[in-house]
Amino acid sequence: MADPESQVETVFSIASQEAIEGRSIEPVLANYPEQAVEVREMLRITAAIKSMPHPELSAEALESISKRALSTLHNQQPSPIAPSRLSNKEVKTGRSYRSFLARLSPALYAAAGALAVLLVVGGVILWNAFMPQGIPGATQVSSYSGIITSIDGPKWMIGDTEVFIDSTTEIHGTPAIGAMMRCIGEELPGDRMNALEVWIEESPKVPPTVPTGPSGKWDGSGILLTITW
Amino acid sequence: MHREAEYFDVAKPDLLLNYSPEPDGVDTATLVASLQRGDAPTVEYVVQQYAPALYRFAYYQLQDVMAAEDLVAEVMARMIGRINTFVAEEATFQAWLFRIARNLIADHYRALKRRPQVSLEGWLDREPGAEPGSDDARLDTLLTRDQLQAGLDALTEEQRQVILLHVVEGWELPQVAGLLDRSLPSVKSLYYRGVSSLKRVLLRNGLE
Repeated sequence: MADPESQVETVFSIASQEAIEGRSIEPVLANYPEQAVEVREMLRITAAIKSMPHPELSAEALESISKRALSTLHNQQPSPIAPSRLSNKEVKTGRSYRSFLARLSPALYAAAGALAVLLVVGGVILWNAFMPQGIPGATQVSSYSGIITSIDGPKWMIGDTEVFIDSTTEIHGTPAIGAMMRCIGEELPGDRMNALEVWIEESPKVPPTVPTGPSGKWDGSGILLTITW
Repeated sequence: MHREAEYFDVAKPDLLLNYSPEPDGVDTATLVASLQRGDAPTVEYVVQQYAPALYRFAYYQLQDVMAAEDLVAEVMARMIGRINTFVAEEATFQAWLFRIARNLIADHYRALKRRPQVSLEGWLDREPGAEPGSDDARLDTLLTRDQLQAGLDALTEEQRQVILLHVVEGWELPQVAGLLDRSLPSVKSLYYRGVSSLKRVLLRNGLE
């Protein structure tokens, strides 16, 4: 059995619901005559509250609220100009961050694609640069340096190595027998090299010419030389 | 007891589920899906449909036209911003909006550092009322909005909100219980005590 307080609360809530929905409360109260007087009195309060004019939102205020809501909606939707969104503080939120990444993804894909193309093109360029087609058997590009000991047309001797020069070889400086040179080129079997680029680094080293004649004092052009052997 | 069981378990079993259709029977899933797509006409519909009730709810608690209008606008803004967090299984769309409003009202009071409302039940209980039924004639002469406002001010926040939602807005008590995160018996008690206190405050203030 419910306590009297709980019972009157229940009776009141039931009767109140009936009244709010426009139905008669008398059948409810008839079942609870001991609470009927008190409940009926309280229901007069609720009926008075229900029937009194309540504050209404003005048409202007309603329109203003609607405009503000639409403005909020507009500001929240992704802008068609993606860069302008990068400075929007909303990118800090999880949802906006995902939206930011979603907009950024095409740019990332494009950058990755461009990088791949660059790598392929660069590889092709390097391949063509270091894998010439002119000399069969060319296998490796290397550098070599030494003193030019002979020049026989397109064939230079650098120590024991034959260096081949052709119309595509870039030559920096004036080649001469006895000059120090450095080159890069394709190694060929048998101490041979197909030169791609040549740098002449030193003037030819001309062996000194030893004068012949008696030792003693020489006078030439006003300069006195003393020769001893 | 038999009557209570019949009311809640047989006559209206769905009440215990705390769900009812939206005010005009609109399908919640469709409504929310449209809002999630950012559909402007749906936003306008929601404003037209729910703003008036939210305004009444806010006005009776804030007692300021501009503050109440701003609060409704903020409810709509938050609704748009958080629509992706709405879970239909947890509440009706209408209850979700009113929950936002409740939180904003609580924030408003906190910002004003307003003291929490003190129920006058204790004070009223020390002053025994008249015999039941003796005030019938006087009660028939009320009620102005100012009197109601003054009476509501004397109630606790929850008592006030139960009365506003149940009596003014016509929510069923299980719906109110869902919004307040209270059990149904607890809300029935809040309602009864709230109206009882309101009656006594009104009789003292307005009808003396």
